[in-house]
Amino acid sequence: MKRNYITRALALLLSLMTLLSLAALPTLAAEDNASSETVEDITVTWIYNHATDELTGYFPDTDTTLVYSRLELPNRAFYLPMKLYEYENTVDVNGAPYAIQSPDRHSHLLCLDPVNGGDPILYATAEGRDHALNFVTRPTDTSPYLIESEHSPIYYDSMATDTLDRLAALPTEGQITCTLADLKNGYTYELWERGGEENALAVIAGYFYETDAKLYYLDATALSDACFDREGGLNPMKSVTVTLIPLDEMLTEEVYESLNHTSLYSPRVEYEDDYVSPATQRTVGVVLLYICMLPVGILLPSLSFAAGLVFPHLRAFGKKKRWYALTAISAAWILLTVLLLIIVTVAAILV
Amino acid sequence: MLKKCLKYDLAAVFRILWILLIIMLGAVLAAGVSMRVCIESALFMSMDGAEANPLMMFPALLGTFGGYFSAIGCFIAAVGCATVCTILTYWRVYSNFFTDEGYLTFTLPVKRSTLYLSKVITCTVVELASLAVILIGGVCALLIAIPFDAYPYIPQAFREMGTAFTEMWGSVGIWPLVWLLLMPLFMVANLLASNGLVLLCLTLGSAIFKKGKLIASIGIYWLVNQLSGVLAEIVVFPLIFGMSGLMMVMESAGGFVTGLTVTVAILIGVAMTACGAALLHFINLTILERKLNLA
Repeated sequence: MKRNYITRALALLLSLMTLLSLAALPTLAAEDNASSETVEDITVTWIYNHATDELTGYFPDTDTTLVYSRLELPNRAFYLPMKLYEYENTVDVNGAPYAIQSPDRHSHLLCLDPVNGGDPILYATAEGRDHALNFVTRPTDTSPYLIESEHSPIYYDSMATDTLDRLAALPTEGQITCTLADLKNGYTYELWERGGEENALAVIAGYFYETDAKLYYLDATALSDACFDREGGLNPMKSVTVTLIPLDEMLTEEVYESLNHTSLYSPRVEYEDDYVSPATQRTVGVVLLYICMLPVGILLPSLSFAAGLVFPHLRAFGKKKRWYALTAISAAWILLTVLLLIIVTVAAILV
Repeated sequence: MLKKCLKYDLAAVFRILWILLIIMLGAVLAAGVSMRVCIESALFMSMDGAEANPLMMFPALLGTFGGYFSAIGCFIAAVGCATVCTILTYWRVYSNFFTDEGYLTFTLPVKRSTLYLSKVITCTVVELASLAVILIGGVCALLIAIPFDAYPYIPQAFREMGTAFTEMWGSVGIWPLVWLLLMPLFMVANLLASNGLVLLCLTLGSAIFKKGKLIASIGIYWLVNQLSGVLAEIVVFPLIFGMSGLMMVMESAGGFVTGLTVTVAILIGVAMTACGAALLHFINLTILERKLNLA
């Protein structure tokens, strides 16, 4: 009777936990975590058709096939991915091996990078081709950047998005003419496609040149494709006369201000053969858990379990029954560890 | 008899402790007020045209630096009070058991285990009281210190916390409530283990050394802390690997399985800590009952 309040408190706690467990059991927890991936191997199979110059890719994870044909972009447009996804298999095109890359795993754009060096080749699906040609003709939703030279990975950002409109509206008063060979030490004004890693195109809008302590703009869209070399730079061998428009004070200040904000172009690289299937991950996880929980959750409490059983019988420890409490706590520790291992093993098998 | 021992122990400790707790609470709240003065003064100085008003700039400068250093001083005072509370409690245990006062204590018609249990409960209650004061005072100080209208991202932070909680509720359901209820259990087990270690070191120092018992106890505590740090790393290292393995499996499991697994993991932590606490206290009791020589 003296322990009545303890009994009542324990009964109350047990009732509370039972109620809570009832609430927890039919929990309408989102099953978003449940994986529907059962595919072990996601390696894409690539087949190149020499006759039609088409590349066919079979994606086992989505059971889809995409057909890509060669894409030729005008010289002032180019492939500039924020992410490089490299497929495991290579393909032979005209006897030379090419690694296949894309901005994203199921992208409509592919870049074939020659393994032994050389120029990359672009391939696109019909959808990708339409998107690319639309972008080159009328670039929308872009981020403007300045590049010092066509091969430099350093770019200058923080140009305003309406700069192109303001450049188009510049008055022609004070314009100068010169040949392409006279143009030196300028900055290329590029428009990069925005909207996520799958968008990987860029186009040169124009160039800024400084002469006689004044900044001038050359509109690249007014030049023919022949004025550009394959890297997107201006071809000084072409004897073409171009017109440079002087910038107003505000635009000049903005261009110089943007040169203070430097960034490095460095695309994120992901490899197809780095993929580990969820089943393998789960197996490794369970094995790791067993290796770690066996010493910490079984061996260690076994020592205290044994100590709690032996010490009450030893004179040195006063033959006190309190040591059995240590046995009880150690037993609870072992049982909880076993329960955890069972739950995790069952979850790994059934999921 | 336990109730009587507990009553006198708590009364003796709280005679001074309540003053220290009030000073601690006051220091924490004062730290909050000092930080507010510092922040408001700094905001005033950063306003456009503030430097054109030299009559106000000097008090603002004084407020910024004075508030900052005052907040640090109040924080140190609060920590000092918490430390004194702990030292006071353990000093009472030491003087009751291991000084000449022990002759009186152990002649009482009370089992040594009852006396010891009373001391353990008193130490735990004092530590819980200090923690509660720091927690309540800290939250109040934070609410005092931060001018909400000056920092628009603070309401945003609270909104993001609410969103994160809603997302967690949506993915694992009611389990966070269960975890919240288990946390006090884990905290009490930790407190019992930590005060078990201190009391064991006091007992060992007094049992082994005839002179300089307190210094010896402090030395033993320091040594045990170093060794237990190494031991903890040996135990924690595989646990971290185990948990990463658990995470790999839980990524693809549903909310119920994840919630249940985390609950069992917390209970394992409680059992582990309780086992350590029981071992420390039982060894201590054994030494008190069999080895202590007060002659």
